Amino acid sequence: MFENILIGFSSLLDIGMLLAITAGVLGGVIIGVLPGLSSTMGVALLIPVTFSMPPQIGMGMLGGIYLASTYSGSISAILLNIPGTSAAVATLLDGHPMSKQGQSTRALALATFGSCIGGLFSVVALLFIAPPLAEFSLLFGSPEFFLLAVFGITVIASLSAGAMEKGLMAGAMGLLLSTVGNHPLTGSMRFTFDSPSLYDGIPLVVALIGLYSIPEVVDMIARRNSGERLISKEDGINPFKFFPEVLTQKVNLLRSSIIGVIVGIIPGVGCSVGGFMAYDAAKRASKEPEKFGKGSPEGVVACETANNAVTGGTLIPLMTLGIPGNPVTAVLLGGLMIHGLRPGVELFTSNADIAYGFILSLFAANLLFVPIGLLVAKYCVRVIQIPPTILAPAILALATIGSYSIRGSLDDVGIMLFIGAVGVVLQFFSVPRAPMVLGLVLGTLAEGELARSLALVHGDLLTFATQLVTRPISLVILLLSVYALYQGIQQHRKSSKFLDS
Amino acid sequence: MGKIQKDNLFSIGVVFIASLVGFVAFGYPSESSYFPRVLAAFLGVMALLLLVRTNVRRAPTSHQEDSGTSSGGQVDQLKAAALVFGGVLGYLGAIKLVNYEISTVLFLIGFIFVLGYRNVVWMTATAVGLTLLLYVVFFNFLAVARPESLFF
Repeated sequence: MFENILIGFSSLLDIGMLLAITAGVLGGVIIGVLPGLSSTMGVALLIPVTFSMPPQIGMGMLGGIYLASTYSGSISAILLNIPGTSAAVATLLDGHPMSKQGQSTRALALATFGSCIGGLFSVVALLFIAPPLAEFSLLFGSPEFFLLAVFGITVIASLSAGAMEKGLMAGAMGLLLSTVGNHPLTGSMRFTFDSPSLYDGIPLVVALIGLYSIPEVVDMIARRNSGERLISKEDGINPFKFFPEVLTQKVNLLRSSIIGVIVGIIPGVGCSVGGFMAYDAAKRASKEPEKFGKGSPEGVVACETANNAVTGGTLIPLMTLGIPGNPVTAVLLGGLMIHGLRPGVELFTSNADIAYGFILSLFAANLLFVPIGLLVAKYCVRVIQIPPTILAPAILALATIGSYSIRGSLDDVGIMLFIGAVGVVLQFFSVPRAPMVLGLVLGTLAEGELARSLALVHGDLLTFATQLVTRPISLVILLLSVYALYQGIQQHRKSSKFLDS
Repeated sequence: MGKIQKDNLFSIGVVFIASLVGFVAFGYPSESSYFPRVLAAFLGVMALLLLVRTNVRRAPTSHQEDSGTSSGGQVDQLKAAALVFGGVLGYLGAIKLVNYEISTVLFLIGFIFVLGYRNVVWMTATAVGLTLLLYVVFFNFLAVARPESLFF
């Protein structure tokens, strides 16, 4: 393993890799700062840019965007009381009150250093937990992989708070969209309407661009005149002065990092939940719990450390079992597949330079977003004031050329618009889009493995069903899926009771 | 449109789509279509379940009514959607007719103008600058072939 880490380290020292990570971090910080631009949309829009890069460089850039945008949502949360991304929602509770008390730089510095430490901790966890877990995945056969895909979708759908049926329907729609094109074993064409552009299915990146950019732009345009602009004053203090203060909160940092990594490993829970859980734990453990919600530095450090520790945690099931824990990692899985990589043990053995290069690039990205984030924070107010009237058409132009560039076909722009329309409809009816992304990403795997499993038992459905409950790993995954559904139903009932009361 | 009306409309729409997909899927050989067939059936059942649950549930409280977007907001959403889809379709047509660079500059200027921005210098500078950036990144750096157009 240490040999592989050295191989990854040599990939990291490549000048192209360092430039790509820096560009990814810079782009990620800007995406995170701008309310309305999500990490998922940023990664989806920039996958085409990484297409011609070597896989480790392309993945390094996407990883940089993911980490930096997760962190930088806190900048607008602290300065403007608008969370740039959902991950920064918990940061609002104490970050903005600190800013209103004239401690903007202190709050930003605590958030930045906390995010950096949480992120670094999660990368170390990824480095040491992922390879053994990947080896374990060697025990998996087609039925297990099929059930893993089902589990991934079940978890996300069941965690669509208060909208379980809609989440499951969105997951099924994603799976249906993934069946467009030829069948993985028989090669029969389905739902292609004699259009050659659909013979190979709906291109994943094109679909992701449509699903995440078009609805966001529609929303941005519809709300363009309702934006509140709260501007905080700059206090001109050197942010690095607050680094020792962060280090004095060792227990808070460690506890929040561990919470973040664990939350990240559980598919479907997400950065914002990690932030809230760590915030709650910090409040319970604090000597001054009454300060929470009124500008507590401990609160800022807890939620920012945890939400960035989630990032590495979500990559553990992604890189080992191919289970994306949230929409961003679902898009990252798409990025891996586009570069011809498949999660699992092979990624850590045959493609060790790519896997370890990518993991170490996350390490570098976590360090890089400290100076870049603090610099952008200084000019944050100006960045945020880019009007939606300019931002919206710029995103559409990028989405158009990005979709076209995948296969050099303008038909793909049409496909992107169609998926975008589906996204707008889902948004209108308050249906979560994340299960659909998972369905799209995992659909090909699920159908392929199901077809292989059935072929191995000569199409006998009863034998296949027996296999699912008699193979130990299958049974465990099946039980986990049932538990996830049960938990979803419970949560759904609680939400309904809450609404009715 | 309230939350209940929205859920009803969504459920009915999904039942219709599931029936259509199921009908088409049953026209394919069974070994190639059991996956879409099962999914269509699942989708239909879930939509019916949502429809029943939405209507069996007791009358909405004011909190539930509030959870939907206001009618003014919904109209804004529809207008914005029409603008986005119309704009991108027009842009696509222009690329096929004229060429990528001219179409992109015109699309950006036109869209920014329609959204209400009136600073001509910034508008033009943004449109030209962004087009140049996209051109350099995609056609020079990534060596993507330029889209073919009728005239240029």
